Amino acid sequence: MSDTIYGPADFYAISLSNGDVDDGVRQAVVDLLGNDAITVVDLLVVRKGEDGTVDAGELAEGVVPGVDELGETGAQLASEEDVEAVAELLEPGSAALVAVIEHTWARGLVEALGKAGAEVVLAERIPAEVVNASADSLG
Amino acid sequence: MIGRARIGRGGLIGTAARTAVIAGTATATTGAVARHQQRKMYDQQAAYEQQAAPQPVYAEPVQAAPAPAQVEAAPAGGGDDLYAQLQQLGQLHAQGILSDEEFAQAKAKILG
Repeated sequence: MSDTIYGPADFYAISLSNGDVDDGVRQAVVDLLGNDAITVVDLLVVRKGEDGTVDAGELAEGVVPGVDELGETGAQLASEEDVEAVAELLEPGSAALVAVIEHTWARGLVEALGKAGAEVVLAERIPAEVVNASADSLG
Repeated sequence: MIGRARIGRGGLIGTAARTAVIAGTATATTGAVARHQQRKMYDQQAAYEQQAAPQPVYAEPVQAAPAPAQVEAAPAGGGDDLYAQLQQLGQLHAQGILSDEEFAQAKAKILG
């Protein structure tokens, strides 16, 4: 068991067009690692072979060039079941970068809610387009 | 190679979707994930059935046309599966994971 009280996390699977993590994406991930508001708690590459076999490339295997580790909060949180769920979305012969990104900024809130016995009854991610459109409509 | 720590645990996606359903807080977003998971489950089931079904067909002397045989083979053992699928579908509809429209579409698809 972990002593850390994590905030909520987002699970992203990003398809990699040529099956490789390109420099722009790698740099974006490196930038995320330096961001205190979030924590990249898991990062891997899921590959689906032409024959449908599924494999997951771990960071330790150098799947994301320039990113060898995630620091002390990095954990293999995504399970084999998640890997398979992602693989189902992939065409044979393609790959996806999977990132589990924790909202570190919410840790204090999670702890406070727990202590207060308060519950999150609704949590909804509002797409940026909707937020911006709503803001625009305010004039 | 899949890391050892990843094996033998429930998935984040599936667990989150199930939790949302149980807690009754399945929102549009988590609902969409759950819907997707369920659809994938059905697709998987269908794929398994298709994979499993042709084997006895190949065992028979008539090997000339495996492709149409595969199509015919699926419904042959599918009576119970069909019922189970409809039942699952009904549950998903009742839980609000499927909308009325999606339920009708999926039902029509299953009944072919």
